[in-house]
Amino acid sequence: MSQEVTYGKKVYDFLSSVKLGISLLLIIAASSVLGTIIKQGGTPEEYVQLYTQSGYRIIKLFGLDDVFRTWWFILLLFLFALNLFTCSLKRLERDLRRNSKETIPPIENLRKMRNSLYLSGLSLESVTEELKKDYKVLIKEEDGVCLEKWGFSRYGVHFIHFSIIIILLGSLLGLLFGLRGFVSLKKGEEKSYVTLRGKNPEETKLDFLLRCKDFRVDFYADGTPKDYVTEIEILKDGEKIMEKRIRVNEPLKYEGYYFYQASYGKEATFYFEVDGRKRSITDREVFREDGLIMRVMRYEPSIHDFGPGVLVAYLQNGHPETTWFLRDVQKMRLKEIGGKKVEFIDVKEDLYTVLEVTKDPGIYIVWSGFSLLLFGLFTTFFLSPRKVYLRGDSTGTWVAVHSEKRREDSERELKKIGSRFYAQ
Amino acid sequence: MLNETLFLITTFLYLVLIVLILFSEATRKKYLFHSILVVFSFHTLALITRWLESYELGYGHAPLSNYYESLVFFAWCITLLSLLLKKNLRYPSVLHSALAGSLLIMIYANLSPSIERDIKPLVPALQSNWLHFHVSTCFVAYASFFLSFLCGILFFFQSKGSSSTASILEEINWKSVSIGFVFLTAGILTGAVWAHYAWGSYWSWDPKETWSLITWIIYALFLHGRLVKGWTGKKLALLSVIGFLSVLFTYFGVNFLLSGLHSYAT
Repeated sequence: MSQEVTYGKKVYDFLSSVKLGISLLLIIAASSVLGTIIKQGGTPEEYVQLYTQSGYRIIKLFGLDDVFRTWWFILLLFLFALNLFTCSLKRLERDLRRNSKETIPPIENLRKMRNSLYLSGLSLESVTEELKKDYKVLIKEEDGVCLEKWGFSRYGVHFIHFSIIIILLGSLLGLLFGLRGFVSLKKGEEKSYVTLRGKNPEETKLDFLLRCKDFRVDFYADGTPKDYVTEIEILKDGEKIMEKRIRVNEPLKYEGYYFYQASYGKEATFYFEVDGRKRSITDREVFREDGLIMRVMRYEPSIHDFGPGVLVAYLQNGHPETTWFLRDVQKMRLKEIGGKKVEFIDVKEDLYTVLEVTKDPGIYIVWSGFSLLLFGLFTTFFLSPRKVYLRGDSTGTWVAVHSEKRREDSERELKKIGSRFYAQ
Repeated sequence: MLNETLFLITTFLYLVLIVLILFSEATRKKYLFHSILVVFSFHTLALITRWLESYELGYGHAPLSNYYESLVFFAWCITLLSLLLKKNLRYPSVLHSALAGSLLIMIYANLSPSIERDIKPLVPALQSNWLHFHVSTCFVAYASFFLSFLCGILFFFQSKGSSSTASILEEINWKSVSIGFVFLTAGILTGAVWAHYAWGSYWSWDPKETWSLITWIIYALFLHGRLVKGWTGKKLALLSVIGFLSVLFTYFGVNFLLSGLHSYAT
């Protein structure tokens, strides 16, 4: 039994050691370097070309093509969080214990302290009353008092460490329960699903409908893009719930989803007459009707001076064939393919907007971690706790100031206290 | 435009300042602070003019948006910190070499033919108030780390045997890294919040983000080395140098060698 206890303690001591923390940070930093100099998320061909076949095998084995998402990198972060937690806990215990041992030095020691002064004619009670406005009383004895200001800054380092754990937890939550995807919409189009990002794109349904009222791109005079704006409406059960302009830096937030202006593209719609009947297909679709199977392979907005043209692939008696249609050339406008009379009437190009869609239930935890981290850093580096010791005698009160971090702070604090009483 | 002339004058003033420091005993002591103040005022004036002139062009944005603007702002931050840390600069070589650093950056930024100096409109991704918080905090951090780097280098070149200069250098180094670390953290966090609103993710392991994290880890090691392990002297001086190399890579290396989301800065 006792052996088990010591074994457990050994593991705990190792897990909570500063040495492990520093080693983990170094390994995380080194892996991060790898993650920026080795191409991330490339195709096998690219890796073979860059690093040879055997190089690619090593990259694949350790997941170096996606360092920040490999199991061992996540494990490193997890271990780091554990180390930080246990290490800080140990320190917190020590700090609390040390603080509970506070005593007020005897009067002859106060007198000898570097930063002390004697307030003659002022009783211990009156000095305490005055200082209480800004200081917290820690100990009160019959002829002595210990007060403190900014005592919490002693724990700044704990705020920093725990805030990092909070941030990591928040990001884990986002990783586990969040989602990332996109939705592309043409003007007037409606959708109620999001295409998820990942190796096998899936769709997830939304319980509301997105309608794109408008999308436009504005340019500066010199041709650089100025603004991408998607005007979006959210509908639920046929009713308009909300309307918003999505711009870069101004996402739409609804029911925990964020919609960001990510990019845009152009999609062409081609208009044909097949045996006299009007038909339209987009460049992503395959046309199937009455045995005719065709698809637009290529689109040129202008071929020499003959206007727009499309290269159409079709099946002729089961064999794949291709042919060009030109809108403005009589001979090339109407052709018989796949046993049908096909006429190329026109083409229309539409802009479509691409919205990035995310859901991150951990975001507010991450934000609070951020705030706590900044607060912790500020208190640790720019504030220091000041203690004031008071001892009264028959004619006045001795005041001594002690600042844990810097001697200059004690001097300054003592001056402030002195001027407080002499100004009265 | 006027701002270009003012930046050239500022560069010239930095040159005059350095020459005076090198050859005149008086500037070295008595008038140094006031001379720096004059140069710094011109530098500030040039930045403000550039800001105002961007409104005349109809763009209206702080001069924090491209490579050129980042360089002149970086130099401004170095001079600002040198002024603020004046009391601590009892070892004047740090102050002198910091100003020499500002001069070199200003010469490079204002005279190099490879740098685009025109005021350009902001692309949609940069049109955000977070731009101000993010860029300014990052560059205050970079400037602090530059001072720390100088302390590290000077530590190796100081005359041997004088323990007092070593301790002054260490004190300035410590102060610089403390300020730098707080501001780097603020820079990373404001960047993360901005990335959330602009790109939809507060952290995407973009090379710039990753390298800022690497830099952050190096300075975290510096702080823990001193506070927990009690490191002093050579070890800390070396870490200051390594840390700043990482800063340089985060600033320049990522822009020129790696591609990523932060490509406006090139």
